[in-house]
Amino acid sequence: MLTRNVAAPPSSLCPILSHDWHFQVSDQLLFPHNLNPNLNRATRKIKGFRLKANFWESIRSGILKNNATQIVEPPSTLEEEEEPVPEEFVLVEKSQPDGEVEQIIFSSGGDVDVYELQALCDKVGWPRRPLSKLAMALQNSYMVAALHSVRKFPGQEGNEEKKLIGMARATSDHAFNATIWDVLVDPNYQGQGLGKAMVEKMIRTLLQRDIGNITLFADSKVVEFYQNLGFEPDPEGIKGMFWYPRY
Amino acid sequence: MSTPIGLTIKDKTRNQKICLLATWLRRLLSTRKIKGFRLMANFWESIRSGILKNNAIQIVEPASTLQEEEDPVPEEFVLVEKSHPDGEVQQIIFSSGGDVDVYELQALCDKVGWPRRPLSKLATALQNSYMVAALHLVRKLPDQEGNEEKKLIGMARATSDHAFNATIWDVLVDPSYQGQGLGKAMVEKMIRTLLQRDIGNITLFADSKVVEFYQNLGFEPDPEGIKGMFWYPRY
Repeated sequence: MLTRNVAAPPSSLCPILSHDWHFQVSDQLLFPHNLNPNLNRATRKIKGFRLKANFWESIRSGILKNNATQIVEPPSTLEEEEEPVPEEFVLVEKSQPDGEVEQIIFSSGGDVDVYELQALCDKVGWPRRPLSKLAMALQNSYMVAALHSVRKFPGQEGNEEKKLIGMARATSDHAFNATIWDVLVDPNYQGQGLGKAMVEKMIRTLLQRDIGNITLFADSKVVEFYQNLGFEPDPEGIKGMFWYPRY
Repeated sequence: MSTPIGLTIKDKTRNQKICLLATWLRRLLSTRKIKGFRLMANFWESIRSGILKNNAIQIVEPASTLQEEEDPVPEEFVLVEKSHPDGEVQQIIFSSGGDVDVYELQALCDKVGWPRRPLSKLATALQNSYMVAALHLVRKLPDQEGNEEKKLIGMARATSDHAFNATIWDVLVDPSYQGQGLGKAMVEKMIRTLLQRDIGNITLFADSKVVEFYQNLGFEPDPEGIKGMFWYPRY
């Protein structure tokens, strides 16, 4: 197993987090070496570490703004072997002084309400699409990842508010290729690294399923966002093309 | 469309068929920009020049393409038919039903020089593609009743969410049959089928050497600066 080699680097790249095991664990998740051992590690470039460090710096700066925020990663990520990404887990947990707790939950099980999704698409300013087609697209996507905000109120047992605040989906042939579509995060929750976390988890899940070619089409404004996640535009001159695009 | 001097009546009929096809295509493209016609005209010019080389070749289009309404692309039909003097008939058949033998596909991928992929994954990929288009060469030998040889000579497949987007992967044609417009015909049929199923966003990733090939089919690279991106591509 190749995972042995990379026990050292994470702490040296993110010194601030070394005393907090939660954050250290999170770093380990992102390094290419921990992922699918079948891939040829030797061909990965060193730049991977630097790009991944940028990602965690951005997450960290979002976190440190609010001391009550913790990244809660499932304990299984501490083990040597690459554990499968759980289908659902808490990504961020915030405690308010009045006792209210807000959790941001990542799920890849596809439990997205199509009406909520439509409202979210409106919120980010995307053109309207027929509801039935939206439902069809969700049903026929290989993976549908979602972010939900769950707010638990103090003193109110069992009373919680669950709201869709982010989504991303991928189509795939289940063997070689996957293409990520429709990545969106509620504007009120943007800038916290949630979109990046969501896409990163999707990538990890796809790699664990041995789907090695992960692609997407990025608007010019978000090309850099995806470069920071490890995506490269036009590698070796390969061009993404659209049939008679309608502007 | 002007008829070149020296063509026989058979050629004129064929050209009429081509004209009708072009007209049909223009109707299909009526909402698209004018440049579309020019690109589509390039496409049909290349098909036509492939045809005129051999008078015994006919494009056999399903009769339905002549009608006003857009009829669905049949799941299987004869694209090209060649008759040999000795009575042997060769047909190139397009099908979108996905009837591709994975061993034949593996052999074809070898023939075009693609790196080997595990057979089981190839099978999984075919099974989970929204559309698998294939070209088969069928040779019917004279005097041998019912005896025909069927060979896979081309394939293309597309993944899709069945609603908005489709991405075309793995377009290949047997090198012995390249240069005849078969790859273009195959992709064009796929596009038409996808559009008929109301899947409006048709995409693909093209090696730099074939970008022009797809431009001639109506594809545009980086429209409005949208970039195709790959996660840590392995060279």
